[in-house]
Amino acid sequence: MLTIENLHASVDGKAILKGLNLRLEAGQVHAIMGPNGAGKSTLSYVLSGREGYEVTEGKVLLETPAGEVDLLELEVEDRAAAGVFLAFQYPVAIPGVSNLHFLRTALNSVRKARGEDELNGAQFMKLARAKAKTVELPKELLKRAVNDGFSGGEKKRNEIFQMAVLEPRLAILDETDSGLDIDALRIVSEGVNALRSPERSMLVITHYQRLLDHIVPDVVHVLVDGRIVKSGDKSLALELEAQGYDEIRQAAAV
Amino acid sequence: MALLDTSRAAPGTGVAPLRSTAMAALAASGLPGRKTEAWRFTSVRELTSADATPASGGLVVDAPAGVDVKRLQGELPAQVAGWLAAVLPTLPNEHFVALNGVLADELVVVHATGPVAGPVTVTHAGAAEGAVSTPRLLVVLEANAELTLIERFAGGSKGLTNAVTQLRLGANAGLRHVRVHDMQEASLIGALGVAQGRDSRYRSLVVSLGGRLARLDLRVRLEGAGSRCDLDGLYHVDGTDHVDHHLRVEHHAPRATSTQTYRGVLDGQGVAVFDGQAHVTRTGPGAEAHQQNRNLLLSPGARAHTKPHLEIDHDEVVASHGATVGSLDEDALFYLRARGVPREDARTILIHAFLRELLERAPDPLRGELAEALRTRLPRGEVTAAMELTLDIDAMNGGEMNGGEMNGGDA
Repeated sequence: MLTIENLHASVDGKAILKGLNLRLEAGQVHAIMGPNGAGKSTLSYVLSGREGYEVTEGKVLLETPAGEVDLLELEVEDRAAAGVFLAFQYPVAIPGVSNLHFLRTALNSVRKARGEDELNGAQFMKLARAKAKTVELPKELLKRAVNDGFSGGEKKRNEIFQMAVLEPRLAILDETDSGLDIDALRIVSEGVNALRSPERSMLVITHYQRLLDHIVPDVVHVLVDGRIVKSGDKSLALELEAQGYDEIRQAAAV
Repeated sequence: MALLDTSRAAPGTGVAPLRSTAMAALAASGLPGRKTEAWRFTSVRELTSADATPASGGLVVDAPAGVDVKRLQGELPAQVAGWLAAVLPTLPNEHFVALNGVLADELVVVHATGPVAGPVTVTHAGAAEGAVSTPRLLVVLEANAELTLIERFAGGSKGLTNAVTQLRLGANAGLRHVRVHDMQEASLIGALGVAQGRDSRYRSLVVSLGGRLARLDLRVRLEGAGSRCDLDGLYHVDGTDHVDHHLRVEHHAPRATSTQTYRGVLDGQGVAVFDGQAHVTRTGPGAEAHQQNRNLLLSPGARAHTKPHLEIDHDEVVASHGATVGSLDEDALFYLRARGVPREDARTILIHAFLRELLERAPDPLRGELAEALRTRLPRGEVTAAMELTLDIDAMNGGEMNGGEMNGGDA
């Protein structure tokens, strides 16, 4: 589904990603763990196309029904149309724009770009109603402006709700567990798990092992200093939790 | 005849108590020029030097039952003269206020004594090219009266409208006031003075949709303890539009509150001036004054001049003021695009949202009409028109869906 080859990226001239390789098969969930400053958020922004992140080398190939595309050559919105979804670590509040109006516009933009019919109001509401239930998102929040005045947990649930409606091929979850209490973490994780499917791959970026008790990954990668230094199954996350990152960082430096 | 000469040849009797003092006041002040501080960013030289023939005030008033409307000329009945005397201190008798006093051919009086259902709408169609019209409106709310007042100024042709409106709110009265300036090729120089009694509430929304010139001097005197005014405004300029909002609130009583929240979108070579002032005199405890002006600049040729300021004569005041002139929020833009909304659509959505936030405060059905007017003026309004089709969330309670394709509503 996703192949990252020798990815180098810098921010303000400073190299952050230094030759990252990753292969994510369809239907798999991979976790990326690593200490602060390793390049985890940079990876999520490079994949989604945020300005200010300069790719100096490498390729990011995504399989789509229309064939393989190099994401790095696409505009931000075209990546979304190709099936990329970034669940933000800090979802942005947009006063004056209703959550539902925004999401219908987003969904129809994506459908239009894919050559699919746009949904009318009734069709969209039926979809939104069903998906909101899966993350227990109250309808009051759907009426409000996007993330405006939402609590931390409500923002994250709204992210997963949008993901459920947009049905991406590749979902990138950037520190989705940050700022969540245990109940919110359970609701969000259940929402994510309900979206696991053979046609969808997920990249779960997290600092802590806690999230991976709920969203159990197929593969765990350890990102240190802009490179993946170790990969393994879910037990690697527990190992890291017990030992901390120091040991692996030292091993990587050798 | 240039404007000042026009005033010397004022026809008819006018409104006697106004004309008698305004003549001398205008002779003393003249009309503002380049060196007049309050007109530093707004030149009226072309307007004052051009030929101008006096035209009738031309106010059209549509009032529901329970509201008394009078049109008066010459000497005023004692009661009306008393009301007028009480509001005159709200506006300095100089410059264009004095010119209006000289030229006004009638005084339109709207009087409400209790809660009124339905709005009073006052419309001015604009003056013909080469003419100056000088409408004069006085609105009096007795104690406990509640009213919605809608004033519309249109620029049907290219003349000058020199309008003065004065409002008096009795104890515990509530007035919701919307003013729409839609001047196109015409010019408006308006003054609005408000005198507020004890515990009265005045909520104002001024919407300026471009125009060759749309200038408003809005002054509020909080004379009664516990009175409150909320002054909101939104504007859009494009081409060579010029809008100018000068606000001044004077706190003369304890526990009074004032807010000023003005926002605008500037495009083309448009110019917007905001000067918001609050003066808290030695009123005793509990004063609160807030001012905020935000400008969204869409083109390098547009100009915003903004100056919120506070003048405080004693210590116990809760106050804040701020002004911004900037471009779109990049984080919000990225968020929308990352969800698949194309860049230009995302920009459009954010521009509209910036104004819509304030527009939500307009009463129905005016809100829908103003949203539509802004959509027509702002770039690519069809994007938000398609976006804001009604989505019936309450149908989510279950049962039959009602998420139809109704236009113009809000979710």
